[in-house]
Amino acid sequence: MSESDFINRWAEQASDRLNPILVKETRQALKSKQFLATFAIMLLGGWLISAFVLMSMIGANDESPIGKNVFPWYFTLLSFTVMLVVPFGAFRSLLAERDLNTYELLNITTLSPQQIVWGKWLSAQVQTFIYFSAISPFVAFTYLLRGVDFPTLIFVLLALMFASMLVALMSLTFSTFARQRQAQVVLSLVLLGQLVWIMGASITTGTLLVSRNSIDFSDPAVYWGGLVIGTYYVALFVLCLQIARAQLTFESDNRSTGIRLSGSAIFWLTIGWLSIGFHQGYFGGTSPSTNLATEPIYSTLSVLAVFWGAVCVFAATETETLSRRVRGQLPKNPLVRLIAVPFLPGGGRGMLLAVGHLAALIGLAFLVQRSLHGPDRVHAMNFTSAVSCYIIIYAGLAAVMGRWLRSATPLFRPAQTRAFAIVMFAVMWMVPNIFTILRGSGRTTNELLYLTDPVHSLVRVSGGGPWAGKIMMALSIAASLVVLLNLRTMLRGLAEVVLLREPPPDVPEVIPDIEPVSSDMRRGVMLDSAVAPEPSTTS
Amino acid sequence: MTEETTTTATLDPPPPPEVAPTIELHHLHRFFGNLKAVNDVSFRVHPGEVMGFIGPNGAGKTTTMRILATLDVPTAGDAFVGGYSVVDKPDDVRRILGFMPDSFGKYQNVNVIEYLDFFARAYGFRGAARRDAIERVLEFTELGKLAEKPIDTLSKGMSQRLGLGRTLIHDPQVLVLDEPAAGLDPRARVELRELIQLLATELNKTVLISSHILTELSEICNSAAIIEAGQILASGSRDAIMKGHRRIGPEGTTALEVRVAENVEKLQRWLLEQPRISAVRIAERHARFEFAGNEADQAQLLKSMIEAGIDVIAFHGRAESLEDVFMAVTKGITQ
Ligand SMILES: Nc1ncnc2c1ncn2[C@@H]1O[C@H](COP(=O)(O)OP(=O)(O)OP(=O)(O)O)[C@@H](O)[C@H]1O
Ligand SMILES: [Mg+2]
Repeated sequence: MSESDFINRWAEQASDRLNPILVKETRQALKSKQFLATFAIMLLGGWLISAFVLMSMIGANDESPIGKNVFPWYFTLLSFTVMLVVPFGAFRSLLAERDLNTYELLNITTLSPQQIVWGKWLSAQVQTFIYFSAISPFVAFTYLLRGVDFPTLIFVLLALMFASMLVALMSLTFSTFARQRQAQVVLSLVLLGQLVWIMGASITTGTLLVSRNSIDFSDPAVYWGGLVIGTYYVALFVLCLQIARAQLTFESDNRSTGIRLSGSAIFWLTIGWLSIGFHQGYFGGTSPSTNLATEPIYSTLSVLAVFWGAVCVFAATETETLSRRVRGQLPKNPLVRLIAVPFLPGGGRGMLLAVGHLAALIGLAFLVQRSLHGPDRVHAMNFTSAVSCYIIIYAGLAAVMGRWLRSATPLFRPAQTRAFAIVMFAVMWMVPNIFTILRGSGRTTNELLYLTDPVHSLVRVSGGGPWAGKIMMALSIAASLVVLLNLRTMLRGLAEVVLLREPPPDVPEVIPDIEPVSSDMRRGVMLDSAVAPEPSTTS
Repeated sequence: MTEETTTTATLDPPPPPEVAPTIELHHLHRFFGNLKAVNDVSFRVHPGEVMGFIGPNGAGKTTTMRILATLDVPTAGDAFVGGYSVVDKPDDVRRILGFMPDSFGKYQNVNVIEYLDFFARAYGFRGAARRDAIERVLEFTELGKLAEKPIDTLSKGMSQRLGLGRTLIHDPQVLVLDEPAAGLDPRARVELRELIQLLATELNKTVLISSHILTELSEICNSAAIIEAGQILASGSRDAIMKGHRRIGPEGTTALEVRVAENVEKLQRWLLEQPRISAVRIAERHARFEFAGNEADQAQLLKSMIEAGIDVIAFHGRAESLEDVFMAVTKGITQ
């Protein structure tokens, strides 16, 4: 056996372990003009920049370190490829599978949706890796020119690599939403705009960091900050992966649990960091401070509320009944099923997810409040409760509306319900304000009229003015009413999973009654499978 | 005996009913909003059987086949492939089913062997098993000579071969082919037909094949299901369908066919004036119709036809073809 034969065989055996899509796409990329062109442009650009620098050095007679001034050029070149070309390529490549109808061919192989996303993502990373390798000699050259701090340089390059990894995954996730042609064009443009923007931001940040040498690696705050960013990075990565996976999974399969779990993880991660921050800020000093720094808490909670609100609206507007496929996969132990309820698909269970998490959040806020003394403690508690009420109201109303619309016309799918709900909330938000503008005489004195404007009400509640109590009362009543409106669905959702009780369909019955499949039919053709009847979902 | 019956004789007759079916549709429904694309469809296909799935455009063939291939789920009812429900056990179904959609794109910068290699990997084949699978398919489809050719430069016929090859890469027991012969020239069609016949007779695979090119289906299928507007109008073995369906013409008539040198319109006008003739259908340069009368009357008919100045070049009785059945049972409903 010749040496090249041996290498070939070894490469083939190694490739057996790789993701099939990665193997295919790498083969394609090596033959593709776009990849070769980008690679050539990069090398050529690198050489041109270097030649230019060398020429200017010959002319100049001072010995000033010029690495700082050269680095931005290489960095721009690298950012252009790994933040724009590669992510957009990943986006295009998943879209192309759909366009060509090849996606369905992949789908009926034994590849899982997750493997498909991974394969596409890994192929993008191979390219990123090649581009990084191509630029590294030039970056080393920058260092030789002096004026740049080595740790900062490495840090900036690593940060760019991680950023590009996440951006590539986000682009892939984005592409799973483009089903129709028109959507593809629009989403392509939107993504391109976003990518250009992100690329600009990363070039600016990277350049600034290197030119100022502004990272002080002896400061513990850098590491704390890194840890916070790192955990969110991982969580966001997993969330994107779950969304992409859900998008590529069949409707009748479980498209919800992954998203619910990763959403919940981000929820608790935020609460965790908030608690640590609060603990450090409040008890970290020598004596407990009397004043609570409410601003950062309010803004963190507000961002969390927007995120969690989105997760809840998504979960609560799903269709109710579990598909037969999901039913078949339910755990056997009723206790495990009980714990799993809020994370299983279905609008009623989505409400359980929302209510459960927010109840826990309010409970926590209550505990914190009891350990505090200042006047802000009540306001912080009110703020948390009010935000939770808003989420419940929005998610619950969307769920009720979705059920109602679906029973009116089967054309209304969860996606339409969500879009409709968002538009409705935006309108509710604007109406009192438009009214105020029309009246032309400033705001009315009755703050309750602004209840549908969450920002206005939250400011009032956290400010602790005379209306705070009334607004809180109104919000609690509204939230309770919305929960009541959803109570039946929530209980049904619970019973469906725990007691394996099938609720009546929420789509009007248009299908004629079908006699159950006879056992003789289920036996099918495999003689060995004739012994075991199809496992029934009630077992 | 007509040519059609002789071709089918090369295929084994459909297996006796006690052999369990590999494809079984059980009151399958698929609605898109108010459109009932598939509306209570039930039929069975057995190993070694090639079933033609015939229906006009928009009848619901592709929708049914996509459900079988686990690419879509039924609104109600179920379908079983090899005994596995497509709703509950899609992964098991995928292992034993090969689906060839009516159109599929081609990757760029991929050659024939890399294409097959990719799908072999996607079906989980490793090492020697993968090489064997590719080898087997290249040999069966005779694509070995084109192994290094980029797939986006293949001709339509070769692409369809490659598509069939891809469908066969995991050696599935059941094949679902959606209009595999569409757009092929006659030669490529015959070649494809031979491949499919081989699959059923030699390898005992179950084949469900859709088309609206009826002549082609009647040559390879030993059974058929005729669908229109989402509903099955007739299904079963070819002979059973032929016997069972309502005849086009009234009882006691004979199916006749006349071919003319040119001016088929003149023939049509003339035929429509004749009292004993019904169910006239005109195709390019020939007419088919039902005639009430004995052989002497037929001779008389031919004579008067020639006297009327019609340039008859052929005049003969005709065994019923699948096309007749199709025309008889479908009503031209579109939705
Ligand atoms: N995803 C979909 N959404 C809405 N309607 C659909 C969808 N897919 C198919 N239909 C409709 O279902 C009906 C059946 O379509 P189908 O593609 O199954 O027909 P077909 O028998 O394969 O026709 P053809 O011979 O043209 O391929 C058509 O009226 C079609 O418009
Ligand atoms: Mg079709």
